[in-house]
Amino acid sequence: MNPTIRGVAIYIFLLVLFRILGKRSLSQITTFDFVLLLIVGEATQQALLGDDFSITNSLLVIIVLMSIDLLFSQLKGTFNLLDRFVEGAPLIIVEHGKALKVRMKKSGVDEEDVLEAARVSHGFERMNQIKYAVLERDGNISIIPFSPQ
Amino acid sequence: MGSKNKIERFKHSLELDENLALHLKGWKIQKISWLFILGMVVLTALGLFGQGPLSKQHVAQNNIAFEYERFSRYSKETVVRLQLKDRKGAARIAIPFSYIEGFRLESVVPEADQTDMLEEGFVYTFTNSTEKEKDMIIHFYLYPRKAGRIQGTWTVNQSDFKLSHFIYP
Repeated sequence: MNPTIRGVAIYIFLLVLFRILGKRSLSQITTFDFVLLLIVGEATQQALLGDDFSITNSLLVIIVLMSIDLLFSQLKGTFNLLDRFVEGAPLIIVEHGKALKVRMKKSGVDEEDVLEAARVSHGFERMNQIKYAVLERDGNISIIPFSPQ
Repeated sequence: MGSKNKIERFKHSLELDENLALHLKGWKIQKISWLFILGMVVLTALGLFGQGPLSKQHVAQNNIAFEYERFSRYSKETVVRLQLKDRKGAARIAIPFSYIEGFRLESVVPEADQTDMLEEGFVYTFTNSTEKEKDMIIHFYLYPRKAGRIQGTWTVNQSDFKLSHFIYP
């Protein structure tokens, strides 16, 4: 199969698949996620190269993948809707010390994840020290403390 | 119960475009996609992409039976199993060129006593000089050359058998 078709098909498939899986699978590398990414990488390599292990084919596939990435970056900048679709949007999951349970459940995030982020970034001990917690587009949780007054 | 699953809406002081409508749409699509992925896993286990009950095909007539995989994947070996029962004399198997164009015939086990390339296609002849081997099983090991539908009518001792495959890319 043509390297361009292989590269485009695999790239778009993985893009859609990881969007479906949810943000946390990208940012939070647990042992499970690590194993998954390792295996997916191996399976992808086979699919991209097929039985053609020539240097030419490898270089062509790399060029195709980088071109798609570049194209998406340009298009995302131009079309806001595409940017939203591919990258998503941030989501507030804690508001004035109160965990927003429905939002957290739908996002696949629990209170422990938020408290972990709070401990790591600010050394917070409790939820009521958090003004806002935002689940960012890349899957990380950012913590906004109450202003010191 | 309805209010427990209702998404929390409130005003906030952050300069941040949450786009809650996008999230709600996304979660709905996510749920449907998960069901689709689960369905695909089940269908794969059942053989929709080869190697399973959905893929196994059995064609038989006049004491001749074919067993083969209806679905397969590109560059994955597939086997056509031919069983001849109570055969008298030589077994003559003709494979049309249209079929061979779609597959690379890797090997035939047992090897044919005679192989010819005639107008009807590749013809494999298995003689039965001793008249001892009444039942015979022949395996044709094939590799798909292309993706898509590959079909052809094999002729075994004047009986026609239509074999049809779908090869996933």
